[in-house]
Amino acid sequence: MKKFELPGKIKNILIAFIAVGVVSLVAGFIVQPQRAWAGFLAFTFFLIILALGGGFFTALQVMSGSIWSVVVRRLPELSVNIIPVIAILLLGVFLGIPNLYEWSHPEAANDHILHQKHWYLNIAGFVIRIVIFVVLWFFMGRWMKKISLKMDETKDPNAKKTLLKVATAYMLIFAYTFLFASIDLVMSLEPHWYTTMFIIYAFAGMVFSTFAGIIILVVTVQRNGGLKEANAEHLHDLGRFLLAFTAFWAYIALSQHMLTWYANLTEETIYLERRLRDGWALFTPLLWIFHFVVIFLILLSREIKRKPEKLIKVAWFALFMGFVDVIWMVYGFLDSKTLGFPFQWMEAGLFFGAVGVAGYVILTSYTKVNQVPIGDPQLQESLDFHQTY
Amino acid sequence: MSTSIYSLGKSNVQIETDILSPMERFPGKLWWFTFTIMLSLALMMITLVGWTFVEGLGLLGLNNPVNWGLYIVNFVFWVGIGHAGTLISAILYLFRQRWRTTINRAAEAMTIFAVMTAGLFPLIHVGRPWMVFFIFPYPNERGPLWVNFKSPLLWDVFAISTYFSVSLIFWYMGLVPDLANMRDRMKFEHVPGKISSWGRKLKYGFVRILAIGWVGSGKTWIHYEKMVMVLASLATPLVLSVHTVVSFDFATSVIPGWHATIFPPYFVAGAIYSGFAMVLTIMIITRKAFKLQEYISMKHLENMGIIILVTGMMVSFAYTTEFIVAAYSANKVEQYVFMNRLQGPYAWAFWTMFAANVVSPHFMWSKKLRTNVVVLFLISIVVNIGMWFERFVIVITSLHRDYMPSSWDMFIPTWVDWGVFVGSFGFFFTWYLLFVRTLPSIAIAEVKMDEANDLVAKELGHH
Repeated sequence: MKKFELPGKIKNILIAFIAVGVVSLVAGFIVQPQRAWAGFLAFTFFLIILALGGGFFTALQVMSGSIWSVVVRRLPELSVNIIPVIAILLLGVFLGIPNLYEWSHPEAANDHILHQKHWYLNIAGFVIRIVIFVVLWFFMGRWMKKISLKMDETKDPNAKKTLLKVATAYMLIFAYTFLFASIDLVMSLEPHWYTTMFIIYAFAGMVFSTFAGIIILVVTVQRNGGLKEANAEHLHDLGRFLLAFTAFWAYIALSQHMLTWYANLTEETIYLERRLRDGWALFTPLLWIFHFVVIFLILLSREIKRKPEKLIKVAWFALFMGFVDVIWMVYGFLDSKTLGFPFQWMEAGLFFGAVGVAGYVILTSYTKVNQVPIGDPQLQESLDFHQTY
Repeated sequence: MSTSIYSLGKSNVQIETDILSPMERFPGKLWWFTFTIMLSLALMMITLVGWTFVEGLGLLGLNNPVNWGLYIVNFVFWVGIGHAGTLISAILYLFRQRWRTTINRAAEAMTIFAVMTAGLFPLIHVGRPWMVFFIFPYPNERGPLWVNFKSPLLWDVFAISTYFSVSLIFWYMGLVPDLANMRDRMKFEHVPGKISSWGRKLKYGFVRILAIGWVGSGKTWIHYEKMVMVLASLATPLVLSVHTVVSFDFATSVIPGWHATIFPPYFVAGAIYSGFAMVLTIMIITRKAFKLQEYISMKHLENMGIIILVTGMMVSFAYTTEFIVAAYSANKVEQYVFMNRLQGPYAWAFWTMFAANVVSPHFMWSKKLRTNVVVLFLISIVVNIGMWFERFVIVITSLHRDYMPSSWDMFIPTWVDWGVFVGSFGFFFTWYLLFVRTLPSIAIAEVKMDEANDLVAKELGHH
């Protein structure tokens, strides 16, 4: 089977995106260093959710024995290749700990609550945990990818059973590492605050952004002459999942915020309180409208889900909103007086940068492998798949 | 498309006979025996409830800190059970899970009866049940005095009644083609049995009315399939909404152990978990009693076992999150509540829950165990017990020690509490037993359709 050739034009665009990201970040560090640190963390966390999202998608499809998705599985499988980049970025985050995390300040010892949290929120613990998670994510994801790639050559139907076992292990490890990683990297930015839903909120955003990313990758590859096997039937299901997960995100967000508002506990409402004043006053309602209402209503259309040129537009917007949501989660600890509108040129530049990094890594790796998992015993069924309604 | 492992290879007449024959003969001794027991239990519950109406809620173990006792535990338990049916018929339909075909009818019926049972508890718990119509918001002569729209208890009324109505419509709509099938069979074929001729006429009359003139033309089927699709899409968020709103009853409060934002998805996962356990229990009995092993095959039971494993692990994940965030919170009260669950006077309830909900589903990893009917049956019962204890732990242990140690007290259910709980099973199974004798417990039309599709696939495969 012919391998995918990435046109130089796309490659250049992606490199330009990365350059835009780097320039915005550098400029950000000059103009507003505190904000730039937060932007850098948001950028890193967004790449983490895309990389883990691809693994989650692969594991989920294998575990559920899904047939329709076999054709489009290869692209998300490769998302694990972003993890080395993430590892480097996380070194930057480690350097930024004093700028990002209040609990790392020496004054934290005088803060009653932070003092009590010191057993968990301390620099050594933080670094060790994150290193362990990244190593696990990388090796588990690579293991899954390797089995799938090996299946291309051996065409051994029993390999799918091994893949199922590894996927199950991946899922369990993912669930419990993501629980801690989301607390460490994002929730502890506002260390006095805590809520149990936060982990699920981050997860819901992750799956949403992942489906948007997969749609963008599939359609982009197809426009450039690859992955001819995927058709409207497969896109339809990807679009449906995007629809389902924007609803799921809204459900989780509503549950978290409504319960916070209702109980009105000082230590908990501060989270929403911060995000509803000054520059946030407009931003937060816009997030809720565009992340959920607009995307939900658009994706109800069957036609839009089946037309690649329309679906990709929605997916770009969804991916963008996924990034905006990460900004929403991360930026809350910044002083809202000086913050202004939370999404400005630097954040826009960072979004391009994240797209550039993820796109470049996945698409260049994609040129080296078979475009579809040709050794998968269910490939033929997946090719023949069609929607009944 | 290849022939599915679920194909039966049976003729349409054979399918009809297999599924409808229990409805066409006089119930046997076993049915009457079970029915008598269940009806007696239901009557016992009704008597006890009547007694609490006369005497007051003092008959129950309620006391000052624990003002929500077993009635609320039972309410949440039964609402949870009522999740699996519509999940199977709506969500598994959207996920194109073919194996749902043979289990959806009975599971949906179970859902409806479980929601009915659940609905009894708030009703009898309000203290003055004759005033219960006050919860409906309508212009009235009491002021007008409106209900508190900000109260999650009111949202419960809306959520559960909507869910009940949609589940009932979905269930009934699914039944229409099968009712027409029953009607035509009674009209055109000699159906044996002890049913006397006037009884037969009466039954025929009912079935004919309920079949609403279904003829099964191509056009009707096209509309019908669209309707199923639309109803499934509407029912899907409803499945999630019900236990979400039930969880709001607790999570909107400021009681440590109750106020946790993770409650909505955690309750939904738990509901699906317990619902599937109950479906498994009931299916294992039903397939044995009515010899439906070919329709509800080992593979079906195995799939349900896997769902129990997956949802069990989701519930375990939610428990872990709660404990970890409490440990992280540096909130003394929050941490105390969780330590009290582990070590306090109700630790036995917590550890029962832990063993049943967290440990027991892991037996399902083994293919050998999850294809063993006895093991599956035992696990399904254990999970049901565990899920009941989960609600017990949430409701009772969070309440019995509140902010003021001077008002701490133990909740000891009285025999009336237990009597009503046991009686609720009687109530539930009375309905279920009536159902399996009057309506087809497997969706005949859907099974036939799958069979036809398999036949087409097979024919195409030869070319």
